[in-house]
Amino acid sequence: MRSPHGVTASAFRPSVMGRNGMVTSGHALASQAGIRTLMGGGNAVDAAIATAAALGVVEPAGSGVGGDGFILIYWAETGEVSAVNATGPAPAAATRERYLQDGGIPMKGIRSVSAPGLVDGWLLAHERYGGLPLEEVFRPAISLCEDGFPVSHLLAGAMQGERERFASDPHTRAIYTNDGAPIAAGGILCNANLGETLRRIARDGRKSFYEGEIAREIAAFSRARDGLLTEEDLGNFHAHWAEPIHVNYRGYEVYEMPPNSSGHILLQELNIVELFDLQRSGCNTAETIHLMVEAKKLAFADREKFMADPEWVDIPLAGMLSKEYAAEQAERIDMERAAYDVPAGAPEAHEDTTCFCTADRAGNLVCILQSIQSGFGSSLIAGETGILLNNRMTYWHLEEGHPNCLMPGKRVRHTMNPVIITKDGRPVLTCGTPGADTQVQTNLQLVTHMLDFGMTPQEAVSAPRWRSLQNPMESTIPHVCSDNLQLEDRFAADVREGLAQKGHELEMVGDWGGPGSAQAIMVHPESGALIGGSDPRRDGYAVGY
Amino acid sequence: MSFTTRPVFMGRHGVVSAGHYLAATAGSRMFEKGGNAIDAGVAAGFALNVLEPHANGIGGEVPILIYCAKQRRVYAINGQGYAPKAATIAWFRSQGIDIIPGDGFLPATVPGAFGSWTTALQQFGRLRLQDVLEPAIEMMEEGFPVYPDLRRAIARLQGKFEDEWPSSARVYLPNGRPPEVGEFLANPDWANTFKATVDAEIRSGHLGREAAIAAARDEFYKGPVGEKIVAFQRDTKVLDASGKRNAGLLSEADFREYVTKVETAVTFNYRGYDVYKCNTWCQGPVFLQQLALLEGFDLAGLGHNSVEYIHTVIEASKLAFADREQYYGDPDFVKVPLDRLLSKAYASERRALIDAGRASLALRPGDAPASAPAYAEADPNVYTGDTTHVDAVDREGNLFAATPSGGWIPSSPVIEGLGFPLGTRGQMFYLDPDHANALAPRKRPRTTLTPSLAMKDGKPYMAFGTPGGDCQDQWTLQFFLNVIDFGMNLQEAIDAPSFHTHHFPNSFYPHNAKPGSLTLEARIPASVREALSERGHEVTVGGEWSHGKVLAITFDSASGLIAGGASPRGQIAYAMGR
Repeated sequence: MRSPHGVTASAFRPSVMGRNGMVTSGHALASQAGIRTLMGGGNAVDAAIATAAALGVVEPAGSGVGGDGFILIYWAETGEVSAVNATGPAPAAATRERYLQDGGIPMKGIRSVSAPGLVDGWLLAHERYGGLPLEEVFRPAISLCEDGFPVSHLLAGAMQGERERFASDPHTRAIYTNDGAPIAAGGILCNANLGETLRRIARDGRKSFYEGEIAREIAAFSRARDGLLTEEDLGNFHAHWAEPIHVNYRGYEVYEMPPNSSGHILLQELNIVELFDLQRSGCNTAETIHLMVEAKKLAFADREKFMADPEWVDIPLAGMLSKEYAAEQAERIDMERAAYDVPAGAPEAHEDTTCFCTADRAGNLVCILQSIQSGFGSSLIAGETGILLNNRMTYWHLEEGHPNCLMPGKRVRHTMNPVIITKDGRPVLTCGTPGADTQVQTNLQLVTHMLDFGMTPQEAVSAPRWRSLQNPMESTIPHVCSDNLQLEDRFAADVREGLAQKGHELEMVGDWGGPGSAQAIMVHPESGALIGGSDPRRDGYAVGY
Repeated sequence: MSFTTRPVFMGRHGVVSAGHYLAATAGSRMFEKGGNAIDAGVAAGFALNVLEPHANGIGGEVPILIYCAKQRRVYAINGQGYAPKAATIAWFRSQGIDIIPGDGFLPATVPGAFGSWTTALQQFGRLRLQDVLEPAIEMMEEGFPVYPDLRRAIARLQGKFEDEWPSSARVYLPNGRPPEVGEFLANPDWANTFKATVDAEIRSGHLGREAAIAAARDEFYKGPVGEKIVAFQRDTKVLDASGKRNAGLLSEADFREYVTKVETAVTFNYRGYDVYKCNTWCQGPVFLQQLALLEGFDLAGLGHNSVEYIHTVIEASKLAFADREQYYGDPDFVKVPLDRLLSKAYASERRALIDAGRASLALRPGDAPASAPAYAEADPNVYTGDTTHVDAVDREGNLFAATPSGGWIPSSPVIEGLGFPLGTRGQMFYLDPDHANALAPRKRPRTTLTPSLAMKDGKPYMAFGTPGGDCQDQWTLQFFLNVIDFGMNLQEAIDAPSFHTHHFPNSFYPHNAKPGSLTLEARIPASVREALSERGHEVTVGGEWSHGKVLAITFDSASGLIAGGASPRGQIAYAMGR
């Protein structure tokens, strides 16, 4: 069972192959929701939204209608890749001064909440590409809300960590605790209120959530808790179609989400890595990892300097993505020595998000990243809506002059970035992962594992993973972190030694302690078979038929 | 909880755990059509037949255990076909054959699988054959994506197919070569075979669901399918391990008179759990005999996979398998003292034979004198089979466990016009007339295939099983002990390192044995392996994840939780449902 690709442990799962449809997501029941939608005649977009809605139920720590997201779609009929930006802005009352007076942005609670953009994004994508009515698309998620679902070991552990907050608020207590006690793995969790919210969205569309009864209830809850989010903030928000950014990597066209997503980092990394002979330096060797880490550091430095909401700041995106610039940047990499800028600080907060991919028989691909920021977001449920509100405000900077400095109505800089890759206009691959600032690093590993080293999707998501931390560029407040390179223990000893010799400060994180929960679907170049892989590090599951 | 290779699959409506991921999805589709666990299990089973043709097929056999929630009873479906009427010891002797070969037509029995699946569906399911065959027919008509294991299997067979078996080459070397991973492999003949049975069902639809399914079964055993099988093996001579070219012995009467039997299961209570197995036409009761022996030990106190634990389990396995060799055979033909073999008194008597410090090298059955099994290697030229497994559980608490096997493509040519080969289970018979498992016309060979069910306090609890020939009831035993004695969750219990022995004569041709052998997965530490060697075990180290493909589903009658696990070994098994 040894992989031929230099992977030092087994992949443990099949690369699931089907010809009619494929869903890979962070939870088996959400993948099943997507597959049922495909079996019921839906396309990849219908399946993605069914999966999206179900994830908000069964993986509530990661995402949901109280949060944001980005959607990337490859449409086979036209060969077009299109993107939906479904990230909400800071409330109109959310001024920098107000938060400074309060002593900073809180990690949890009502003041950590920004306008949730996800629902409008789903609706935009569904309106253009969906084939089934929303009632049908939401049906599996509604049934999971109303009939309940078994709590996974991972979710049980996460709720255990949050139990005091959940028990102390009547709205969360009623849903996420068993009368104040934690719900154990295998216990059944219901959220009928969320089911009703989804029913309303299916019936009345955008209006119900952003202008109607749900908006009123969220705003009333916010007001009652002394929050800043208002009905106007919700009503003024519109998700929008965005032009995907892309670069050509060794003949493959790699599509990403434009700013305010951090997707440009992956493209910048790929541009640099393309200048080196990976076949010679080898898969997961010290030399290759060093190159990727150094490329990552350069790209992150650019994000720190330039990237924020493009409606508020000018980003030299064309330059950042150009091959000429990549060549200049590559010159700055010392292949023998790790670069350091700033001394270490405090560790970063735990991030929680979800990524999922769908594909259908026509060759349509969808990749969505959605999130309520850190685990369970603000940890508040908005009244009787069943909606866990995000804590996305914790991504803002309060330093004047920083491009991502908080402004009312501005959208925060996001780490989420879905990936779609085509070749000669044909679909090749879609992948992504949660994991905040690790996303664009994990994606770099996934893309090169599959495109350069021929790994299957399951091998790629299972391969040992590294993560580079770069102070003070973490997205979550207080934005400081250590300056080191985390490695899973499955990397061979000579890899570790080689990296240490180049000056990387190493932190070993266990066999499977690396970041993320990656998902990937590849399209077989000849037969068109859909090949799915799902990360074993969390509850991920690939399903095909 | 330790890291598991995948999450425990948890649902509330219905869960299928199957030897191939697409079979799991095929089974879970039946829940969406209003089917129950039996419908899901049968649909997944038919899908496994077509998806894993190197491990099983519709020309093979499938024992099934079912807990019927409505009747609150466990049933065993005897899915093992019998030997042809013409297959006598005298005939084989007259041909100069001492051991029934493991390949070709001579070891073929009447294929039990179709009768077994359709009987389960008819008596315990809700859907029509048309519904449960739909995914398998789709896969055969349109093709399914070839996966690495199947490609490897076909590549190994390429020469044989090209040189000897043109009918197999036509199906499995569609472009004159083994299909690549990700290429679609179709089998229109097999699709048409299945569709003919569905047509028979539709024609008899006015008689009601059950009669219509019976009509489909008749299409197979009393109609054109059986006739084509008989004609092909009568008119074709294939080279087998005897060194000669032989035609088959099956007649149309063997098919016409074949009836799938629904039986009472054999049971034993272990630490409060009632474990159910099929009767001695398979090795199933050996699982129970091992439990009876191990009941007398504080296994948890020995420590999981400790030297003492592994030694104790293996020594118990040797005693139980010695009885399998001595007593087990088709109970319609031989008297098996099963009550005695499963009694507490017998177990405690036998338990005293276990030497805590020394590995036994003898075969010590209950009443017969001990003997030393002669060391023998397998014939590397004869495929000794693989198998697969499927479990299904629904929200009503119906349990389904089936272990399909035989009728695999490496051992017998694809039947012209039907798309699948015959099985070779007759190789498990002996030509010694005094042996419990001696060949006799219309007798069932004692098969290795062995699904399991467990109940707790009269409530449905678990369905489980694995492929693995003589290792099946060793690997599932360890899995079961991991859950019951060590409190592991399903996936942990499946992931945990396994071990097994081939101390006793193998069920497959040529019944080779490796006395004292003990094979351990490499994740079991060297210190443990060395200590076991010192006790006299002939230790072999396998791969880290190489032995066993246990699948299992539990049902919690209090909460309704249905939890499934599937082995990461081989990277192909999968749980699905919701």
